[in-house]
Amino acid sequence: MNASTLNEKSTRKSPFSRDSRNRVLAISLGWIVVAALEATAYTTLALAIVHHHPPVTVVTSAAIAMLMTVLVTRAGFLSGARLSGDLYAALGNALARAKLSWFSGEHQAEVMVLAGRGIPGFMSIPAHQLQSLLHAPLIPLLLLIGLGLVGGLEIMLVAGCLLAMSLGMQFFAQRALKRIDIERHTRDLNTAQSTQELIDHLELLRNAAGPVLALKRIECQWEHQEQAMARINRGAAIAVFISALAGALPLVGLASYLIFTGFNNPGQLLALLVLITRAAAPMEELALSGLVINDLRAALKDYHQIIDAPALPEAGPDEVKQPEGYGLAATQVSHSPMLHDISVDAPEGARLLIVGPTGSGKSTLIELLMRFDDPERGEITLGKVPLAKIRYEDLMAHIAYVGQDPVIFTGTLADNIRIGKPHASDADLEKIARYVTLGSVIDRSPLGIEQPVGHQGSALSGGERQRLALARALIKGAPILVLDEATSALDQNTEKEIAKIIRRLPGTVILVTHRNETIWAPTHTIMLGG
Amino acid sequence: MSSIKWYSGLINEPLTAALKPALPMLAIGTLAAALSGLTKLGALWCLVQVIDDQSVTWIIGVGALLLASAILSSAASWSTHKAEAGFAARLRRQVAKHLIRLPASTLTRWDDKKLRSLLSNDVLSLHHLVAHLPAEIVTFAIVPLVSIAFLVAISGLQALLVLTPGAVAALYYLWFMPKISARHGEQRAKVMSEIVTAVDEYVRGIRASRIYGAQSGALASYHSATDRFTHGMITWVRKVATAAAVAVSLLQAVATFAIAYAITYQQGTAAIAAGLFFGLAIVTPSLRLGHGLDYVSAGRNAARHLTDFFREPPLPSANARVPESRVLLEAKAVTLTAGEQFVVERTDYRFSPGTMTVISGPSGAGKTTLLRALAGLEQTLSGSMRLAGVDLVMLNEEARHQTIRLLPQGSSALLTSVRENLTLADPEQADEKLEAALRQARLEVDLDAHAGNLSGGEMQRLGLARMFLTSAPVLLLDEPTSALDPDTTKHIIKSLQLLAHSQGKTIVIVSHDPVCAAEADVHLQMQRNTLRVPE
Repeated sequence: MNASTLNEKSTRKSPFSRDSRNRVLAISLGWIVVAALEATAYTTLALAIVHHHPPVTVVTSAAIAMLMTVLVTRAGFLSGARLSGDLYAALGNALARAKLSWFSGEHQAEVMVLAGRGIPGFMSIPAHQLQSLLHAPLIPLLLLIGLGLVGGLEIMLVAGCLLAMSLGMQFFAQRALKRIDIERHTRDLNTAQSTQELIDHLELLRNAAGPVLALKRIECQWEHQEQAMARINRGAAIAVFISALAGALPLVGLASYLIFTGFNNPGQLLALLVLITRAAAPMEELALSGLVINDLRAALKDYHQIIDAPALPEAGPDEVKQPEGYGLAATQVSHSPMLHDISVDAPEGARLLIVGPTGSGKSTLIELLMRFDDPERGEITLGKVPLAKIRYEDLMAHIAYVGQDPVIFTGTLADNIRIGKPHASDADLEKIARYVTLGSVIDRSPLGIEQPVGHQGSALSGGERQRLALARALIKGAPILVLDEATSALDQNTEKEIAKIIRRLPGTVILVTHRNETIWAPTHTIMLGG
Repeated sequence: MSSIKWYSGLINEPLTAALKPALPMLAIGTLAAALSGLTKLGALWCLVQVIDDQSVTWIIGVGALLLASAILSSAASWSTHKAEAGFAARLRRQVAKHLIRLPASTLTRWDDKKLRSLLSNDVLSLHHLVAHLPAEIVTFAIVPLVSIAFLVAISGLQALLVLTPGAVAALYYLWFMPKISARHGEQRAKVMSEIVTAVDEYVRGIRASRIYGAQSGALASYHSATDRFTHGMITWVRKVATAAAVAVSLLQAVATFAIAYAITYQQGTAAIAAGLFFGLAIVTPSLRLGHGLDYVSAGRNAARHLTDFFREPPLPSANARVPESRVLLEAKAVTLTAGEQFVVERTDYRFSPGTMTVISGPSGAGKTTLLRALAGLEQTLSGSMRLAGVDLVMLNEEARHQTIRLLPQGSSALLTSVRENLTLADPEQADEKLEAALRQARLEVDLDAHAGNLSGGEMQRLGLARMFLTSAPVLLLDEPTSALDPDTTKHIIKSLQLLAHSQGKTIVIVSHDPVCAAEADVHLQMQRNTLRVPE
């Protein structure tokens, strides 16, 4: 995907594209027509039973209703698949826009649930949910007219009352299910979050807490979840009972009414009971789909919350400026809680060292310089242009970065380096890897540069992960290289080797380190925290 | 119950232990579901009689049987779900218990996504298989058979034609659909897990992804995974949509009613009634099939993942215990590998109590693997790690944890309060003790502060505070000062040394930091697959 389509999509207000919306509207209309045709077919059947008609009209009206059902269902399936595509694209773009401070553990878990379960669930909206929402309530209403045609006004009124009572009971059952379901959704999220905690911190938990206590926190979550589930199960069983009663009520009620009032025409009796059975049937379906629709509503709410994740303001096309050169400067920048009135000047080619005790805001300052967030006060400029006036892609083209905890993706050595320069040749990748002293790693496997690095780099040592991240940064060839404790896991000799390479770079280097400061030969130094 | 045998084919041995206690409740639920279906048919039979002779007795029968059916279906839902919830709870705990006991090198082979899905999706995927399948099989067999009997009794053999739409639809769901979607289902599941991985990697590596632009890295793979998903879905839907739509429309009562009327309209009202009411007998269970049989294959896959996982051998342990202070930790003729590479070969070394040893060596020499093996979290290829003369694998696992504490490399903290992070091993620790440990680790932070707000260096010191807090006599620390400044490093190493000397603890630190090496009682170098004192 190139930058222009990304922007086009990012300016879109609604997560549903106009095409998707039109498709959903057309299918809604289709379900209304299906309901009308189906009700006509049932009424035709009822009239045929009463008047002993031959089956031609019955079969014809049924065939027409079925044909329409086939057409609408088919279209529903197809637009469901397209809808999920739209939603995934919107999610990807929302994540690409969201500012970095938004990605907390809680939000991460929400994103995972949405991508894995929420969006695939939305696929069923056109084919199933719309049917439940439009076709199901319309059928009883239209069949009441049929009941009136067969049995007269009084019977139509009685049937109407019975159906209304049935609907009331279903409504009660559904409301109960909804309340329970919101809780179930919260529990699911909590469980996903604590599962993620267990997996993310597995090493910490089993070393710090031991084989027994390590599971205490997740156990606690599970117990809550299981209690909630037991409650949900009780509620669901009662709702199932009420909904079954509600489904039977119209039939039993109308039959009793007719028998007790001395009705004695079997044909008419059957016709009326057939119509009321069909009128009552969709309500059971409504109740059963209640659970799914509640899920869907909760998922849609989550979806909107994630899609609306806060982003940093982007300059309009008229305000956008190209930086002149790549001198980086910050003027009287403050950002709570650590940074107060900090000014930085890193002219082109500078090697800027940021020092200060742990917790003095070194990483925060570096992140502000790369616009991971906007400072609360003060201004940061690249090539004399405020960062907010530079297109994000342009800003990022100027910067390569290795953080404290190097991000290694599951894949091969080559995959990880190639991220820095997508079209780099294999030879270039290997050259840069050897340059940052990864030669011994390459040589220890016959796969060489194509050897897998394990899950998120777990097959590599800490120092190897750092050098791999460094190779990725160097191959990008950006004018500004930012290193945040990027060599902390290296032994002294390797670190010296790396420093020598870094010193040879023509561009700007901004680095945070707390040892061997001299090997980097800084041209500028900033002290934070006194 | 015949389905049990079929079950054990689906759910392999380690899972049967979790399933067994659920079986009685599951059987009750299945029976209730079957009875619910039968009482409903009884009600329909009574209804046909009502139409025939309009008597009050029959109408009371209809009401009573429908009430019974409602009670039974509610009971069925409750008991099968209760049985399933118990099964899932037992299974989840088995998975977590196994997980926490796997060697580090095994965990490297399983990626996070797979592990996470074992605990969430895979357990959830079995839900339908356990809670719904038995009742559905029984309902699908019994209800149609009995209603066909009613139908034939009332209207003769030709009435069987009424069953055509339901039978055709059932054929679609049981034969055509699984055949077509088997390959696509697998593909879709693969692409689905690709999306989840792509999102996970993207969100975790957001900084790197951002810096290196949207067109490369995780966002690109996310977009390509979602595009493939949509594309695959549309192709698949195109193939099956028409057949699926026909099946859906056949399941509408319209089709059955039209045929029933065409066959019975000359046989009198009771026959028409029977044709109309019992004709739907196959349609109702087929409607349930319409919700899909995907869950059977999804459940099967989940069971396979879980079985594979349970096959991974956990770290061995037995019941031996050791003294709780001044213990000797020794490597005896130890050969240890990391992947294909040797870390140490036939190496002997004794780490004495009251001594702080610092091990350094080039990156990738296997320092972390060695430390994990010393902690008993990694198995040696040959030879043994011994604690007070006892092989680590013979130790009781809780005793091993009480005796040896490892501080892993890197800095991470649970996203909760500092206090909870410190009291993982002993929830009853007094605040004064915790504060003292924080002071020793030179971390000034409130116990109620959120650990997620700490910087990398602060998290590392939080981990160190845990080492000052524990009473374990053996402390193993992997690069414990990588994020600290030299001043802090020196102070903390001194404190650790004091701990070794005053309390007779055995402390082993892996570090390439010269400040650490300078303070060590013994400084060892990992070289040419052995440990030696540098010249």
